Amino acid sequence: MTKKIVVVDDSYIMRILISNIVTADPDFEVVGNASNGVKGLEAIKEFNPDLVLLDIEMPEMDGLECLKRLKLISSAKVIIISSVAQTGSPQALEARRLGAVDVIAKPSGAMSLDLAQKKGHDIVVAARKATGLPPA
Amino acid sequence: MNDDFIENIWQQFAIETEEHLEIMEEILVAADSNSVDASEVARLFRSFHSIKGIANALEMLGMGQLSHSAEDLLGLVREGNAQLDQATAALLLEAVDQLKELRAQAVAERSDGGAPAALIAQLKRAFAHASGIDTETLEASTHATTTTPSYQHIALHEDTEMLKLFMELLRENTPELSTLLICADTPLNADAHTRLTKTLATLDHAANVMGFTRLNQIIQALLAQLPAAETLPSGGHAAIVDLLRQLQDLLLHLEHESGEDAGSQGLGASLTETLKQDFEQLTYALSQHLKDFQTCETKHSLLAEHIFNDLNALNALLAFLLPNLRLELILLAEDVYGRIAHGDFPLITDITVLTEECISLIRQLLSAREAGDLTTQTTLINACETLATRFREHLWHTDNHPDNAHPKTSARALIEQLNITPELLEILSPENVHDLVSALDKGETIYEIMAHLESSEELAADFLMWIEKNGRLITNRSVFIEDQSWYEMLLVSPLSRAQLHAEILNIDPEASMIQLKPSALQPTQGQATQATQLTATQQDAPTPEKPSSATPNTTSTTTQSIRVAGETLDNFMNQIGEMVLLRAQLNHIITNTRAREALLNFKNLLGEHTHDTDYHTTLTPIYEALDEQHRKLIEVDTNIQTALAHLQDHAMSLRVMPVEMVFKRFPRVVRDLAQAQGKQIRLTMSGQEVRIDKAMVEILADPLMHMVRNSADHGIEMPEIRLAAGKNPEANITINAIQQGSRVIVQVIDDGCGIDPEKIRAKAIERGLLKAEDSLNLNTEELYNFLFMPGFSTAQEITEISGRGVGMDVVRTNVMRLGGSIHIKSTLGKGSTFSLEMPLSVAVQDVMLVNAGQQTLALPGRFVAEMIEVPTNAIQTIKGRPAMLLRGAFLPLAHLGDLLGFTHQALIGNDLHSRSAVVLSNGQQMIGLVIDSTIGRRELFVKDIHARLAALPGVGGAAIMGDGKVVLILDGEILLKLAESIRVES
Repeated sequence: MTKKIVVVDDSYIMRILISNIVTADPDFEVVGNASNGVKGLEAIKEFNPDLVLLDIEMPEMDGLECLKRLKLISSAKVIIISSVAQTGSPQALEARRLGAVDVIAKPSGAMSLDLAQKKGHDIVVAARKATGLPPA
Repeated sequence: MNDDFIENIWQQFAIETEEHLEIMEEILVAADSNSVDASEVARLFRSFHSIKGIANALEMLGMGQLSHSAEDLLGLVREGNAQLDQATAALLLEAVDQLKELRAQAVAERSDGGAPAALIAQLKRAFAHASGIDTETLEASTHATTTTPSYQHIALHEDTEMLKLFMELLRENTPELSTLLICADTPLNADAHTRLTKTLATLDHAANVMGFTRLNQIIQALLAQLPAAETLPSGGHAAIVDLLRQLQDLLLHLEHESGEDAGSQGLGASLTETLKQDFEQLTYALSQHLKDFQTCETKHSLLAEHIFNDLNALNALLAFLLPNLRLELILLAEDVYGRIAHGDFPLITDITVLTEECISLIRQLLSAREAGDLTTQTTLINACETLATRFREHLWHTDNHPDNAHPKTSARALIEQLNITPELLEILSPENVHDLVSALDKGETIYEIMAHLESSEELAADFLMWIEKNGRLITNRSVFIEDQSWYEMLLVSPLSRAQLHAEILNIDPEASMIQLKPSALQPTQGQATQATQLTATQQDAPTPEKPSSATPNTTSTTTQSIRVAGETLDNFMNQIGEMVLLRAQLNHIITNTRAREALLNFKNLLGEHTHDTDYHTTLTPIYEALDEQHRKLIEVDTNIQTALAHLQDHAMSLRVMPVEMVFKRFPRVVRDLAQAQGKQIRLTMSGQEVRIDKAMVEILADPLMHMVRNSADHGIEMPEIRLAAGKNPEANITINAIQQGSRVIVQVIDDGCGIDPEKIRAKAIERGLLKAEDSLNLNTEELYNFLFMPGFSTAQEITEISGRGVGMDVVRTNVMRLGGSIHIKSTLGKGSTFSLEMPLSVAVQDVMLVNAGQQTLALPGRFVAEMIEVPTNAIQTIKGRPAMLLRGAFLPLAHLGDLLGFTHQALIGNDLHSRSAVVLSNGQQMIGLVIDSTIGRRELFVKDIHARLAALPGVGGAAIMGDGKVVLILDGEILLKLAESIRVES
């Protein structure tokens, strides 16, 4: 069984980059995308994913509010992918308090073919850990 | 990652970054003159933030660093620690400009242009200045972090925002729970069961996340009651009702705590309905039992037991149906029957009558309460108390009867049955219990009173005296309600509730400091504290806020859309054009007269050979098959045509976009211009929502920009000049877009100095374009036309912005090429209006197809006024030009082929036949174009044509016809102009 993922980020590029990164691992399947928290919640209700990859800075509804709301309605694991939430920052701590299992910076240099050495690798590692998969 | 993917990413990079840059510019330009509200600042912040993210992802680190610095600075603004003042806006605009350059390089070369160090340093200085950090510390750290509210770890159920969301969830889901009351009696079908289970599971999950264990327990118990569809709850009606009442209690409590609605009211209403039915059933059963009890000589104790149980259930019902009203009556009646059941109470003849009376009173009380009739309620409550006294008398008699040796061992048990606040009950000493019981025996009543005595010594003294006078204080404890210290007291008094209440009003007229809780004799616990606290604090309870739904920013409302590169759209349109073309060819083949004729001949041949049976039987089926195929082909072709027409319509609608796309560049342009020249200009725009063809957007942009620049540069005067002229120093430029049918009119209106026709006249004469004596014949409108001459400018000095003379002529050429026109209105000293009128779409043109001199040509439909017949003898020579009289006015005539220079036909005396002509008009001039024949009106897809071809006089465009032939679309205005020069050769 592949793990279902919903990606919530206001940037289309980020969404396709992140999708591309996680689906490089055959254990993952991106079932839905959303460009803000409101749509994210809709997608989560619709697809009932195992994992949500969530940005913080978004229009309409930001990631932290989305996190609060989704926690109440879904048992999906949440990984925050945001440059705002550097480890140890108030936002990162807040996200962890609200139940995010991990907080990762946005992928940088994701265009590089050498994915393993780049941020993309972190995302896959965290996603596997969050969904209870053994390290690849 | 394959190339397509990377290609796509770069394409999206270009689109997304451009969008963000546009947003930034728009907001920052607005910030220059007005204060920008918080939602716009947040939007601006997000745009910088997004660019940073996207740029870093693609390793465009220069853009990333620059946006990061800008984002930091904006972070301060967003947190309210800095102002988005003019200087900041200007600095950020500079950042936007730099980002634009870096973006251009990134898009074109996919290379990083590097970080503009000076600008970043400036941004960092601004950040340091605004945040009060000294610059050196800042330089040392590469990453400036925005100040954020310090982090606090709060448990989720104590997090007010989280609680609010949770309440919102409850509010959404509670209504569904009323279904539970239905399923208490009627099994649910699979659908309803699934829905209900889902709702319960949702609430269960949320309660679990929040850490509300009690709620969890209730919900799980409810779930356990309903293991499957089509089954009744395992614990029956009562179990469900009981759980729901507990739930309702809990919801009330949560609502009280959070000040938010959890939907307890709706659930309460449903419960009330159910419980009212239960009440009817119960009282019916009770009446039956009472009758039996009265008529039956034996089994009294068993029947008394039944009645006791009924009354017990009734009491539980009333706790819900009559909240905040503690009726001792039923408890007393219950007690009587309980004792009868245990054989330690004598049978009193009128006891059943009293009980019936009791039920009747309660029923009346329920309906009075429902009707909201307070007077009747008060009367009834008093009646209940009177009745209660009678029950009490019976009990008292029994207890004090010498024969009755019933010891008061259960004094504590009796007291515990009363609904005394548990905390008070806990602190009751044996002496207190004794006091209470004897007070009850004396017919006194137990009351709970809440008093806040800290605020007023006077009140405290009065209160103590008042207690002495009206009763005895049994015990008390202090509680804190909303940071106020209150005394919760247990009091016995011979006074009735109403009397006591009146007494309280004597010393505390508003009953704000001293509050009488509903009388204590009421068995259901739990709700007591809750309910009384509610009454105690009702006035102070905050009004529940409206649910905080994310309020979308109206200015940034995004409609559900997908993005398609413009090129893709163009290809798509071209493909549709090809399809239309191919369809036309297909149609051409099908409807070709030769095919039809062949079939007809075939049929005729068959008709002629009817005598030859062999021949006939062989060929008839062949003919019929061919004929049927042909018909079917025609039918299919018609269907294809319809479908294609729809497709074309839809595709056309893809091409339209709001004219806002053009307009949004103007605020920046006007601002920059105004700043550069020290002018004050207010720009107002309207009609941004008018939708025009995408190609039009691109084409309109330049002419409009020219017009706006002209207005700002030439039209608007310096503030001091305006003041001197008695005008507001702040000038206005208004840009309007109006849609009129298939045309769009864009106006640029300024209240500047206007255009001086005399200056134009002088300039035209000076430049030798006009003779001084001729100039007198020209009206103002005609003089304005000189503005469109190449190299014509009346500006005193040529500025960088405009006035170089190349401009208006280019504007007009472009506009006319698209079938548009441009008009100027102006009042000297008051201002000018430039109106640009264009078709909404340039892709499809309505044309009249005609044949002239072996050529098929298309005349733009909007120029075609009518078709006329030109009898040869009607053509005459007027002022050296061929013309004819049309409805009393002379219409100049020209042969279309002659006009374009590919035929030479003398119109006069050359032909005996009358000929057709198309009357071409632009509203001012008219001409009759003689042609060989007309084909008809068509809608043609206009194709781009080579510049050389476009340069031919009179040619406006080209299109491909159904049969694949290319047809030139002529330019009406130019044809009219060409016609002026035609002279009859002498």
